[in-house]
Amino acid sequence: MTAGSSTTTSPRAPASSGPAIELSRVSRWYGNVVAVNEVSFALGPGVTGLLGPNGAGKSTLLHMMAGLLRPSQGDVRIHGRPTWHDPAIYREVGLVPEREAVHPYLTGWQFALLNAQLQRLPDPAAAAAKAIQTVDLGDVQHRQIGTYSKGMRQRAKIAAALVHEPAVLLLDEPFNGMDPRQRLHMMELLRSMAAAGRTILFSSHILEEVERLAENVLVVYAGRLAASGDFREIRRLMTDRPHTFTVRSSDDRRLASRLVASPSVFGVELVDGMLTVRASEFAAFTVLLPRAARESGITLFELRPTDESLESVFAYLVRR
Amino acid sequence: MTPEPRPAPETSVRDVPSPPQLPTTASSATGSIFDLGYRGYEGPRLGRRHAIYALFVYSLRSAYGIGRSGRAKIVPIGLAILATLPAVISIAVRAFAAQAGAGAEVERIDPIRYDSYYGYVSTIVMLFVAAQAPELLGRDQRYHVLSLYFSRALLRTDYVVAKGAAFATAILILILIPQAVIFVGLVISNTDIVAALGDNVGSIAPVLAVAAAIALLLGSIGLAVSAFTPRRAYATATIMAIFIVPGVVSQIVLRSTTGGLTRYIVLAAPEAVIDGVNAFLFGVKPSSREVVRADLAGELYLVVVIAVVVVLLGALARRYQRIEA
Amino acid sequence: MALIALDRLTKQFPGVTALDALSLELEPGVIGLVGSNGAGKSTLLKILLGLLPPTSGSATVMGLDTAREGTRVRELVGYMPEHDALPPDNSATELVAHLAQMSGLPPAAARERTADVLRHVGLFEERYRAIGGYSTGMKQRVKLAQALVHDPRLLLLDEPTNGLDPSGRDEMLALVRRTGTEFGIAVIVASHLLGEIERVCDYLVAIEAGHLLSAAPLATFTGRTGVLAVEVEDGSDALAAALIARGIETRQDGRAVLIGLDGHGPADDAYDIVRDAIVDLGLPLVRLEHRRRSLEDLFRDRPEDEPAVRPS
Repeated sequence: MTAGSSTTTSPRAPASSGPAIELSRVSRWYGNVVAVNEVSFALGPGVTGLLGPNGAGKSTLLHMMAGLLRPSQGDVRIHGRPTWHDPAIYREVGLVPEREAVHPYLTGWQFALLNAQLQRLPDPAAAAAKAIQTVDLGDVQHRQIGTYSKGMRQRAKIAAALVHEPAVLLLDEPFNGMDPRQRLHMMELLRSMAAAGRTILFSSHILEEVERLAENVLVVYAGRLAASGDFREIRRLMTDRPHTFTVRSSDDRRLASRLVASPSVFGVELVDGMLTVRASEFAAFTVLLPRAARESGITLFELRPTDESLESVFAYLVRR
Repeated sequence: MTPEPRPAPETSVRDVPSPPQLPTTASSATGSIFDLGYRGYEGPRLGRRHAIYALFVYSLRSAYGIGRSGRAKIVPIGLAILATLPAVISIAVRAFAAQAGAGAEVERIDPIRYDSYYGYVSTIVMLFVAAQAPELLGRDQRYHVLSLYFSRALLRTDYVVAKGAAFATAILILILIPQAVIFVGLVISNTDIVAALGDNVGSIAPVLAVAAAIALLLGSIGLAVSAFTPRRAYATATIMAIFIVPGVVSQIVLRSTTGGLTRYIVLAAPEAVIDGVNAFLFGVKPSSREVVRADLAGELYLVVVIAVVVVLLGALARRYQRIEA
Repeated sequence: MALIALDRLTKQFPGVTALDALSLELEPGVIGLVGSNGAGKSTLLKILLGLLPPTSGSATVMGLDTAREGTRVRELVGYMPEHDALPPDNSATELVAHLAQMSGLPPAAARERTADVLRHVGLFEERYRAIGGYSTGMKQRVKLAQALVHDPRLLLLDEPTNGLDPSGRDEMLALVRRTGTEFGIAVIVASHLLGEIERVCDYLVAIEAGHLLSAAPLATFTGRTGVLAVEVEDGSDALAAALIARGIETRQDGRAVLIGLDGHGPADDAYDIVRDAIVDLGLPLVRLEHRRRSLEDLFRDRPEDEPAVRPS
């Protein structure tokens, strides 16, 4: 499959100005159930991951951004314009929802074409063809969607959301059901679209993939925004949690005794031929370690932070 | 070839070698830790036959809503009560009448007899079939539970056999309980019980035969429809339509024409067919007018029942052979 | 006797060949099964369960031919399907006990095993409530429980973390790992998520378009690449320059400075040179580790001279 990069173009210039996506104190409730609770953030071009446990409000947020749901309170704006009750918004936003939203009796081609026509594009057939090619459904585009595998259905939905080349693309669990090769291709596609200037927000539970694809993340929990930004920076902000590292050296025990003497070290553990260090001060420890090793004539073979991944950060955020 | 036996699981009891006792202040503490880890199963495995039997029992209970929520019980048990009520009332009336000395009089005019009973409760039985057949087959299809069944030792045909037997049994129960009530009532209400027993025993065979015919015919119609229509409301409606519509059509046809081949249309109406079988096996006049008008040989009705049941069960088996689990 | 032996196993449907002359032998352990979407993976699982006869060739599970002794195979195998398969108005206890009997356990044993197995998968008071009200995580556990209740020798798990959020996935993967190690049951995990397979499995089978792409211990795919990655919180450029000045070739990759590309790993004293360069510059050292290959390399289009690198 041709990686999508040759077929992605820059999005059209938006009709209005403002951050690509902006939420100001947005809430959404259903009776007593508060699905989204005073959420505020702003996003620009690039890839952002939307994370949270099941039921945290991710789908609700995505639907509000797509203009399909009205906020009970607050403002949801795309390029400065409110999303609700504004059909022109649908030109600027593409939504790929999680649940099946395709008619099984249509072929992939027909579905893309239908969406192009609904968008009143000047040349629906060309737009549909381009979108189909971008997601690499060319071989199967004339089969009915009911016969597609899950991964192919996902790609059909993405093609439909791309026909009008929106500046903002919202995807709810886009990789669901895709095999490893399809996942890699899709990640490459999203990356290239973001590089071309699109704003991409996608939700996923597979944090290893989010970590690689998204520069920034938004973490929602029980309807509230728990954290936003680069997850490494988020980790730095969690000063109440010591950073954990594993170390292999030529003399773990001696190194451990040197480290524990420093106030930046919270605790050390020697187990399984490995030294585990808990550091209360990240900056001080990272400078201390190589210095302590040199001064003691110890060779460092390995240093690994064990809770720097997005998985760890996420776990800390939601398991308070 | 049998697979290698797995090494014995570690189910050791690690304890300090003293009998478990609560420590007293003076003596040393004792304690035991029991291994709660995963254990293998070394007991008997009863194979397909037990699986079929267990599914049969489970489905039979489901047919009456037993083991499910209260709401699931209302329809089947309610209908069972309604089906039994006329029999109970009739017996009660006879008992009172016998006491009042009008026994013979009542017996003469009482319409509730073995051969006539079905005519009074046929609608209830049909409602039961239409309501419960989808219960038995529809849920497993709708929620994709079949994959959990078929990934076990149970074969697809086993599943059909168990479900079919369970449903037929459920219908049999519905029909036979009132008949049993009538039997008991007739025997007991007589002053000479032994003689009454002798009189009534002869009826047992036709009662059972007719009940079996009804259970098989209506049951196979109900299950065949449910197998192809997992959505409950559609299945129930379709089953009721099959029970009612051909009957209405045949009534209309038989009222307007006589003789010739159009008479055979009565064989398409389940209720009429049952009436024909009932009349044939009990040796009485059919109670429905169409059957009388059609004037067909009694054996024909029986043949139709057997043919239909065979065809429908075949369709059922094929459906489950091919259904995607 | 191998746990599973496939001998030129082929399965054809009208118009598509799902499996094409697959041959391999698997020993007990936790085995990952990866495949491209399409008929291959689910067809293989159905054949292993004895539910589908091969077009040609054979599949043997624990010495039993699946085509001829399918029933016997299914008595010894537990299957956790990918899709939702639970009726909403039974409780977990009712359903699992019923299915235990379907597997041939007598009623009393079925009840006891159900209670034990539900505890092992982590369902407690909720087991008496109707399944319709369960969260996705609880439903996945019920599916796992029904696969375990008859004490199978082999478990087939099809996408066990489907629909689970990150903490649910963690718990399910830990459970799968426990099942393979503590419970002593051989496990085949079919999954699209290579990260999961790397975490939980010791062996990998990869199928592509019906052909066997690869079948080997996981370690073969995640071996060291001979590249050492050094990450400092800031000052990577200065570090790279200092290392070059000391005669060490470097290359940059995002936040990391990479060393030693000759495939044999850095020389012994390179570690100390790196350490000293960092101390001389007063830089904060965040990471120092060998880059490993990852399973993803199997699925990349471009043939790689340098394998795609990823921190372990």
